[in-house]
Order: sequence, then structure tokens, then C-alpha cells
Amino acid sequence: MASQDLRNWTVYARRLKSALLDPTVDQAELEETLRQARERAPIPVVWLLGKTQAGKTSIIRALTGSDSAEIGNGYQPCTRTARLYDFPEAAPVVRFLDTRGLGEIAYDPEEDIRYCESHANLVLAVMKIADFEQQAVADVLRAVRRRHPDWPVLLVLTGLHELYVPGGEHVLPYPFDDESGIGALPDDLQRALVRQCEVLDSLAGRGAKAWVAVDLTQPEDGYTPQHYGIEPLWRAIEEVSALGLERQLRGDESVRDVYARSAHQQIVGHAVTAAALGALPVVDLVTVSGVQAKLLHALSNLYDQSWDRRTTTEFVSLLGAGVATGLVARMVGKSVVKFIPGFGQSVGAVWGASTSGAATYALGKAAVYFFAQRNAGVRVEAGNLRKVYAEALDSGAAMLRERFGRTRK
Amino acid sequence: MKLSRLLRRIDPLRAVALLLSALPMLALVVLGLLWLWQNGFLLWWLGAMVACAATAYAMQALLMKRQRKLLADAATEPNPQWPPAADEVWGRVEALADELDPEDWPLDDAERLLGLGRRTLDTVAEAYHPGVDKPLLELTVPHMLLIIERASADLRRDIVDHVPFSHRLVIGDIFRMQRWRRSAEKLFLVYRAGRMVINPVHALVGEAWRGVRDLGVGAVSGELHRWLLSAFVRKVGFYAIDLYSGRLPLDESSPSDQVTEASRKDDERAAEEAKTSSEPLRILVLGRTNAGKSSLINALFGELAAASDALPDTTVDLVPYALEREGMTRALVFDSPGCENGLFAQASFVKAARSADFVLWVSPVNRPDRQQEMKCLQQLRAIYANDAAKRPPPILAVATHIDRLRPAAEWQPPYDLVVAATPKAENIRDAVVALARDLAFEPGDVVPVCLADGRVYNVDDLLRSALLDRHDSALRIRLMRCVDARRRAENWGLLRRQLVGAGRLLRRLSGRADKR
Repeated sequence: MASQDLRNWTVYARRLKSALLDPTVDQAELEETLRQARERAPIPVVWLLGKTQAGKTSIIRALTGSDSAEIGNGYQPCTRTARLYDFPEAAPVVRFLDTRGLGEIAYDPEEDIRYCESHANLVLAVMKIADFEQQAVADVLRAVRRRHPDWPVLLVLTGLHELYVPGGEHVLPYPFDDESGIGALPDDLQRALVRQCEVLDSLAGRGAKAWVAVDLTQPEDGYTPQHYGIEPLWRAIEEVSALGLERQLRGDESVRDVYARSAHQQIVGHAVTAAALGALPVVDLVTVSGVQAKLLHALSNLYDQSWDRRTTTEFVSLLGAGVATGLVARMVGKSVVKFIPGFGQSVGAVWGASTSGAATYALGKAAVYFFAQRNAGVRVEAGNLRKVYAEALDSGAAMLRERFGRTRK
Repeated sequence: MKLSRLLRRIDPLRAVALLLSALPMLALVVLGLLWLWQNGFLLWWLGAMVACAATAYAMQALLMKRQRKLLADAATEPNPQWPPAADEVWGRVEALADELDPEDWPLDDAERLLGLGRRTLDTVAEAYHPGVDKPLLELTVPHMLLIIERASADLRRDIVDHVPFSHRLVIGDIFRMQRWRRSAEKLFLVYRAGRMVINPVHALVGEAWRGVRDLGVGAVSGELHRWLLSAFVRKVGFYAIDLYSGRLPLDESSPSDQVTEASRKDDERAAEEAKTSSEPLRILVLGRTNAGKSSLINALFGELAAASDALPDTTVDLVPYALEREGMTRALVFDSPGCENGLFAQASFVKAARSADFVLWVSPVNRPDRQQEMKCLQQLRAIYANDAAKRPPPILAVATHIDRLRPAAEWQPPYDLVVAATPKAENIRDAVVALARDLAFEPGDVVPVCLADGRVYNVDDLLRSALLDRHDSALRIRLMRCVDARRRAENWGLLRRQLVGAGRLLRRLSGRADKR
């Protein structure tokens, strides 16, 4: 068995190496396979519902840490039609549906509701806390919950500073979590809060519903912290939706800097794609290594490093045969289970998803470690790299199990 | 031929006597010319004469120009307080005045001039009562008398001001002048004919000079004639429009001196001590919920008058506030609830909109969802556009909440919006432009203000001067409104008196029947 593993490892390493060095191989075929895979593993859609300039795009930006979401300047509608943000663009982890500006033009939510119908969902109703003309938003919310009683709804109240006394600052620590904290808020803010939350009472259905207050400002606005209430927002999203979004978009506690966070989102995205590939009836090593090559390329771009023959050889050899053994064993096991009729269709799919997905995840994490060490000018220790890989394999598997376990009932 | 007939009518003996008496003087002319010719001065003399004639002509032209200007200044203008419908009628009167040919309407023919006045009246009456057989009869006797009284007074003033020596000339003079002028012209014709025979050279020069002079004088007198005719038509037309549009009250005092019934009630609601001497301006404050309508009123008052709150629905009905500040006409300011709840379907709001002299449209700059707001504004504009009998009041947009624009925490007025050097000023300017575009206002009709507690900005200077800029047109609307109210009151008053009279008669009749 050991000798066979070793032989398999060389085959796999050769494939990965050639995919890395020549990423144009079978590009069209790869794209087509990826498209099929995405259909099998739909990306969760977070539906942002709110009037123009309510702060929807600011929320997308704060959640993803990405600047690509266009932010309006406070008075002009920047969202003319319903808009989808795939995030990250190349290998999406989540999809944001930004509605057309409610109240700005005649808005018929039917189309958006229909679009979201087949997806795993979370509805974020975004309201400026000082804006009380929320009839349109409330109407759509009620319609959504009548048709989909178990969709979770999270009411996000934005623009808190509009109700501060002139010259006022954020109340710190964040006071909205308990009764006594709310008592310390400016009077107008308290009353507005009660008033705006009334809409939640009128919603039918048994799906979770909650509210959270945030103030997502831009640096020049002069409020600190700039993203006031972002932690409670994450908590609330996790509570009502159980989509594991925070884990997928932010990573663990250690992931704090912009590079690492962006890398994490790329890794999750590609891992999800690879996992989805694994769920397809027939899939070969070439396709999976194609996805992994794409990921490693994206990461090398992010860390401003090139994947030449020397780096590739160094990385693959450092990763070593031991890592490869586990990897290939999983691959083989997956292929066998998958071809057992009936049983293989369901169990095999989940298992396949977690193996090729987790391997991709671990490969990505190992590559990030590899690049970071090299950027810092430190020699990469083979033992450390393998340890990172092994740990990531477990956490990736857990993450994917959570993701696919929840979206497939 | 005319000349020969004239000559035939003159007694030959008298002609010879006339000739003999004039002979020494005529001889002087001939001898003088001869002397000039012999001494070689004839050409000099001719040149001097031509120069004098030219100078005189130039002076005539100058005089004519001055006179023309004087006359033009005295032209009757349409009354700015007329309803828009009157513009068209006035156009007809002006057309009639312009197309008059002085030749057709000699001033000394009183019959014809009266006919011209009647024609003017007919023109106006027809416009107001199309389809009526005799539109001229669609007016009351007191009104007819009033029109004559007014037009006469005006014409008197115009003639005294603009026609030279008019205060010295009596009518008889004018008629005598006319008669004398005709016989003088005849005699002059004879003189010219005779002169031609006796001294052809002098006669030719004289004729030329006369032609030049007549050109000037004739034009001036024709001008005056034309002016008199068109002034007459315009004057009659002016009062006829006043009359037929029902704006001519029988009472002499100015219509806005008295308080209308509706404002009186509102006055009483606003303040018990409302012992008002003149009609207040009615200012209607409209806009969406929480736009800052009540805060605006507070800022205008400079003290707390209207209830304002961060939460909506503090104002549930039209509430009047009496505003009295130095430098401003006394005003009733009406606070209103948010317009997005179908305000203009309600009859009371339509009524309030119609009776407003000034509208302040309050719109928050930080809320770009203006669809509903635009709908309300369109309804309001439609109310005014559909009311052809009235001019729309000025509408001023007040852009509130400028302090909430980005950067949100910054508030360091003053902000120069023309140069817009800071991001905040730039955002305020852009937001105002966006608001003006979305709500179809002229950029000059949007005033950015801040009304937050302790941050009131631009209210006492910019907003107030914008209000004052539109003050005159608001006063005009007020006057029109008062005229309408007065007319209604007058009609009802008369009707009531007549009914009371009729009631007495009935009572007397029934009393008599009882006795029987």
C-alpha cells in the first residue's frame, strides 16, 4: 500500500505542478465543469432590502472588508437596479443581492423574491434609524415572510449618529445588547429604536427574526470606531442564519490583517468550488488540481510572488510525501464510494465534498504560510508547513461539513 | 382746378386792393433778391437759409423724440394683479389699440370716438361672455358708472401730465382752433399760388422749406393723435377687464385692508389678541414626515412655537401660527403633517393650498428617495396650474439636514457653496443640486439650511432674504385672494339685504291677508 501511495503521490504532484506552471490547460473545459459544480452547490444569497442610501452597500463593504462594493455619497442613489455581488468574484463564498432603491422608483419585489426562492437565504432589512418612512420595506418584509415563513430576517438599523445630540459621539461600549445600556442612549435614539423595531412584531412565520444597530461610517466622517456595531452584526447574522458566514468571510481570530482576510475568502471560495466538484458523479484529479492551481495563482498574486518552476518544486517538495499520502488516500476512497449506486449518490457526495474541498482548503492555507514566510525573508520549515496543512485539513473539513450539511437537507 | 375755383370766388376788385397793399412789401422781396444777386451774395443767402432749415428740422426731430418718449411713458399697462385669463383679453385690447388708423378716427368727431369706446367694451365683453348675444349688457349699472368714473379720472391725469398746455386750453379753444385751421389753410393756399406767380425762385425755396417743416410737425401731431386714440382704447379696455373679471369692487378702500373671513378665524385660533389691521400673508409649510417643517417654523419664530420631534406624526393637522417679526409682513404660517400620506386628496389641504400666498416646501437633503415627495409636489403644482383664475404663489424649497451630509461629524459653518473648498461644502452643494433636479426646482429656488438645535444656520440671512425676494409676488397673490373674498362677501351681503327686503314685503302681504 505504501509503495502505491508513493507512486500516486508522484502522479498527483506532477499534475499539480503542470497545472500550476501552465494554467491555460483545458481552461474552457474547467470553466464548464465549475459551472456545473456551482449549480450543485448553490452559493447562499444574502438579500439586502432597504431604501436607497439606507446603508446597504456599506454593510456589504464592512462584512467583506472589500472596497469593490460601490458606496453612495449620501444623497444620490447608486443602486439603480437589483445588483448581485459575488464575493469573492472568482470563487464566490456568498452572494449579495442588493435591491433597487425602494421608494426611489416604483419597486416590485416579486422578481427579487422569485430569484431568492431557490436559495439558502438571509434577509437583511436595512433602515436608517432616523428615517420613519419605511412602509415600502415593511410591505416587502411581510410579503416575504408570508411566502417563506422560515426565512430568517435581520433588521439592521443604520445611521445612528443622525439622532445623536449635535457634536455627540458613539456610546462605548456598545450599549444595545442589554436593557440598561439602551437606557444610557440619547432619548430620541431610544424612542426611534422602539418605533423602528415594531415592524418585526408584524412579521408572520417561525423563522428567526432579530434586530441590530450599527453605524458604518467612512473615515472622513470623523466617528470612532468607523464600523460601530460590526461585531454585534456578525453575531446576529450567525444567530439568525446559521450560514457560517463569519467563519467563511473572516476566518478565525488570528485572521485580522487585510491580506490574510482576503486570502482566507479566496481559499474558502475555491475550497467550496472544489468540494462542489467532488459532488459531481465523474470528476478526475485534473479538474480538482485545476481549481487548486487557480487558488494558488490567486494567492501568489495577492502576496506578490511568482509561481515559477523553482518555487513550485520547492513548495511541493516541502509539503512532502506524508501530506500527499493522506490526500491521495482520501481521493481514492471518495472515487470508490461514489460509484456505489444509491448509497454513493448521497454519502459519497458529502464525503467527496469534504475531501477534495478540505484538501484545497489546506493547500491554500499552507501556501499562505509559505508565501508569508518567504515575504518575511524567513526560511520555510518543512515540519511547520506540514503542521499548518494538517490543521487546516481538519478545520477546512469542519467548515465544509457545516456548509454542505446545512444547505443540503 | 381748386385754385381757379377759389380765384373765381374772390371779388376781382378786392384782389386788386389786396395786391396793391401787399405790393410794397413784395417789391422789397424782389428788390432785396436783386441786390443780393448784383452783389454776388445770393448763393450765401440761399446757403444760410438751407442751413437754418436743416437745424430747425433737427430740432423738430429732437422735440418729436422727446414727445414720443413722454407719450410712450403714459401708455396704459396691464394690471399685474389680474388673473392669468385676463392676459389674453388684454392682448385683444392692445391689438385693437395698435391697429387704429388716425385717419379713420378724427378727434373732432365725438360720435365716432364714442363708437370706438363701445367697440373696445364689446371686445372685452365678448371675451368674457362668449356666446352671449349682447355681451355688453352683462354688467350692472353701478359697475358701468364706476368704470366711466375711473377711466375719466385716469384720462384727466394723463392729459394734464403729458399734453402741453392742456390745463390752459378750454374745449372751445380746441374746436375754434380746428375751424380756424381749416380756413387758414385755404388762405395759405392762395398765398402760395400768388407767390409762385410773382417770385418763382423765392417761392420754390419757400415751398421746399415748408415741406421740410411740415414733415416734422405733421409727424408730431399725427403721433399725438395716435396716442390719444390708443390711450383711450387702452383705458376703456383696462377698466372693462377689471369690470368683467369681477375685480372692480364697489367699495373704494383697498381690498387687502380688511381681513378675510377664513383668516379671521385662523387669526383667532392663533392668538386671542388678534386685533389685526391688515390681512396677513398665508404661508403654507409642506413637506414629507420629519423633513423639519416644525423646526423651520421654530427657527423662523426664533422661539419655540411648533412641536417638533425626531419621531414622526407630531403634527396631525394644519396648525396656524401667527408670525410677526420686524421687516416682514404679518403672516399666518401653517404647519402640516407629512405629505406622503396622500395629503392632497383631502379637501382641506386643497383648500389650504388654494388660499396660500406663499409655499415653503421643506425637503431633507439626505433622503434621496423622493418619488413620493415628487408625487405630492406634482399634485400641488397641478392644483395651481388648473386654477386659471389665479396666479400660483411662489414656492420656495428649503433643503434641511445639511449637517447630516458627509463628513457626518463635521459641522463648522459658514460654508461657502460657490467655491465649495471643503468636502462638506462640496457635498452640500451637490446635494442641493440633486434635490433641485429631482423635485424640478430652479437651483435658485432651493435654500440649504440647518435647523438642528444649536446649529441653526442660514435661516436668518439666506432664507429670510429669499423670502423677501418673493415678498412682492406673495403680496400680489394676497391681494388677488382678498379681492375674490371681498367679491364673494359683497355678493352674499347684497343677496342677504335683498332677501330681507323681500321678506318684509312678504310679511306685509301676509299681514294684509290676515287682516282681511
